[in-house]
Amino acid sequence: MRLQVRGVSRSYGEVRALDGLDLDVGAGEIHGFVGGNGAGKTTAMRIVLGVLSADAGEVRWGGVPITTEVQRTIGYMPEERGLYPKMKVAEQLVYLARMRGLPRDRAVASVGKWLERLGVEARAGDEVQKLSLGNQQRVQLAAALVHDPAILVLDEPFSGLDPVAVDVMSEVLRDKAAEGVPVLFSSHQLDLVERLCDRVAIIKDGTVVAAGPVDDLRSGGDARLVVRVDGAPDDWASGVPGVLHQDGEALTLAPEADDQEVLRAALAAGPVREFAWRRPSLTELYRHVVSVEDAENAENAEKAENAENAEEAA
Amino acid sequence: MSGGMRTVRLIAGRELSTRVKSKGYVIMTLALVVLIGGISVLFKLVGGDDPSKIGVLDGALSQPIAATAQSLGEKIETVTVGSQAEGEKKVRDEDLDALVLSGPVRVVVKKDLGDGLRNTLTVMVRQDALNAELARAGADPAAVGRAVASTSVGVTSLEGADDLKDQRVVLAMVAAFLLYGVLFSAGMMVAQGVVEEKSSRIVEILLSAVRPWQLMVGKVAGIGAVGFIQMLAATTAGVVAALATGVLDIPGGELVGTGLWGLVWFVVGFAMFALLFAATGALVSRQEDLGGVIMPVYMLLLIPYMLSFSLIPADPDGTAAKILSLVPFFAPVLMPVRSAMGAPVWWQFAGLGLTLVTIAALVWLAGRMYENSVLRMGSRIKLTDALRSAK
Repeated sequence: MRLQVRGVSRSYGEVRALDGLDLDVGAGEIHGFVGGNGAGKTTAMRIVLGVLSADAGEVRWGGVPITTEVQRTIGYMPEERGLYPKMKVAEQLVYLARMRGLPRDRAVASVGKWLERLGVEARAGDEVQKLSLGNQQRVQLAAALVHDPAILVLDEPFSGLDPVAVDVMSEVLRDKAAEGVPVLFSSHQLDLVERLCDRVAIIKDGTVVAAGPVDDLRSGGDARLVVRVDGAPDDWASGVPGVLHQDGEALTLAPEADDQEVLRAALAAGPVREFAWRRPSLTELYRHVVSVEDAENAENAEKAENAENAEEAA
Repeated sequence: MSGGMRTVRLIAGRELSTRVKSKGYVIMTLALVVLIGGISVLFKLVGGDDPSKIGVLDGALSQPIAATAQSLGEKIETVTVGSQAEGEKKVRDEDLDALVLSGPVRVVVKKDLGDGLRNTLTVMVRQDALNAELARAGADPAAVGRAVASTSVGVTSLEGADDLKDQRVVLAMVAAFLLYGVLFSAGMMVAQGVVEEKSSRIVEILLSAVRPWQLMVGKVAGIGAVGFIQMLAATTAGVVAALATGVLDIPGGELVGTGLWGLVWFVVGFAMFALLFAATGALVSRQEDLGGVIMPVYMLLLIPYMLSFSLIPADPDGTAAKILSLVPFFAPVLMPVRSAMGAPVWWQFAGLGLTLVTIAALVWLAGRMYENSVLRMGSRIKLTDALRSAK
C-alpha cells in the first residue's frame, strides 16, 4: 500500500515548520528525505507517526486517512535515539513489541530473530547501557523492526553508524522494501541516499522543492561536459559557440549547443585526455536547489530550527 | 478501549516488575517492616510489662508483696528459694531481680533496686509499721485498711476522659510517618521515572506506540502498586506486632480500622500526588532539574506531615484540625491521623469525597501538562506553556 502525505502544515507559534508538504512513498519503495536542519523533516515524520498533530492536511495509507491503529504499528527510529538504559536488551525489545500489540510468544521469537540478524544476540541479557554505541544503534534498529511493521519511518538511521553497520542497515532496508514495505528515511549522507533510494524528496522551509526518482532528478539538472586538454590555456573554450560557462575542466553548455564542435575546439587546443558528460550528483543537485534564495532565507531557516528544537511537540 | 487497558496493564506491569526487584526497594521495605513492627516490641521491652521476679526465703512474704504490688499496679512474681546463698547466686545470674530477706525486711540486688520494686517494698514495710502502730493503739488494722481503701476522689469530666490518648497519639504519628514517607518515596519514583524516559529519549518511541495518557496512567498505576505493597507490609507488621505484644490498650478493632483507613488513604493520596509528580516531572529533561520543580508538590506533602505531630495531637477536635483535614492535599496524611485519634468515621468519607473530586480535576489538568511537556526537550518548560491547550 501507498503512504501519502497531502498538504500538511504545522506551525510552532509564529514559526511555520511545515507548509503544505506532499510526500508519496509507494509499496516496496525506499524513499529518501533530505533537507537542512530545521527544514521540517522531523516534524513531518512525527506527524506521519501521529506523535504530533497537523494544523492542516492529512496522512493517507492505501488511499484513505491513516488510522491511529495503523500509526501505532509503524516501525520508527527517532533522530534522538533512546532506550531504557538499565533494562536488559531482549527484555526491552519484547516489551516494546508487546506495546505495539504483539503477543508475548511472538514477540520473544521475533526479538531472537532480529538480534541474531543484527549480530547482537550475545548481548541479549545485558543492560543496554553496557553496550557499545554501535551495538546500541543496532538494538535501536531492532526496536523499530521487532513487530514486523507494515511501514518504516526512520529519522537519520545512518548517523553514528560504523561502515559495517551502514551495510547491515542498508541491507535490512532493502529487504523490508522487497517485502513490500514503504520505507521513508531522512539522511544528511546524500551519497547513501543516492545509492539506496528509489525516490527522493528535497525539503526546504517546510515544503518539498524537488521530488522524484533519483535518476530523473539528476537528468533534470544541468549536465556538464568535462573536457581535459593537456597543455591548453585556461580559457581555451571561451570563444567556442554554445559554451556558457567554464569552471576549470567543467563546461556548461547552452541547450542548443553542439558538443562535437566543442570537441573539435578542444582537439585544436591540445591532446584531449577526457571528454565526458557528467550528470550532477545528488549532493550538487541538493546544493543547487537549496541554495536558491538562501541568502534572504537564512534568517528564517534559523528561526524555524530554533522553534523546532524548543517547541517540539507543543 | 480494551486494547487501551491492555496497554496500560503492560506499562504498569513493567514498572512493578522492574521496581520490586531492585535492591533499594527490597531493603527499604524490610527496613520499614522492622521499624514499624519494632516499635511495639521496643515498647514491650522498655515498658516494664514483664513482671519483676523476686525471691523470698520466707514464703509468708509472698502474699503481702503480691497484694501491695497489685494495689500499686506493679507486676511482681515471687518465688521461694531454699537458702540465702542460693538466692544470691540467682540474683547474680540475673534469674531473679531481687532477693527479699525477712527479719527486718532487707533486699539483695545485683547492682541497684528498680523504682517499681523499691516503691512496692517501701509501701509494704510502711504498711506493716502502720499496722503495728494501729494495733498498739487498739484499732483493727484490717478495718482501717478497708475504710481507707473504700475512699476515693470523685472526678467529674466535662468532655469525657480519654485514658488512651497517649497511645492514640503514638498510633497517629506512626500512621502519619508511614503515609508521608511512602507517598513521598513512591511519588519521587513517578517523577524520576518520567524524567528518565525524557532524558533517555525513549519517550518518543513509547509515544509512537501508545497515547500519552496510557503511558502516564500505566506508570502511576504500576508505581502505585509498588508503594501499596510497601505500605501493606509495614501496616501489617505494625498491627500484628501491636496485637501480639499487647502493648496497646486501644481495642484491636480500632487498631485494625486505623490500619485499613491508612491503606485507603494511601491509595487515594497516591493517585492524587502521583498525577502531580508525573506532570511536574514532565516539565524537565534532566534529573538534576527535578528538585526545583518538585518543591511545591513536596510542600503539599510536608505541611500536613508537620501538622500531624504539632497541631492535630494537641487539639484533634479543634476547628483548625477539622478544616485542615478536609483540604484535599492534606487529607491523605491528616485524616488517618484523626482516625487514629478517634474521630468519627463520617469525617473519613467527607475527606474521601473531596479528594476524589480533586483527583478527577487532576486527571484532566495533569494529563494536559504531561501531554504538552513530555516530548519537549531542553530547558525547563514554563507552567503556562504546559497548561495551554494542546493543538
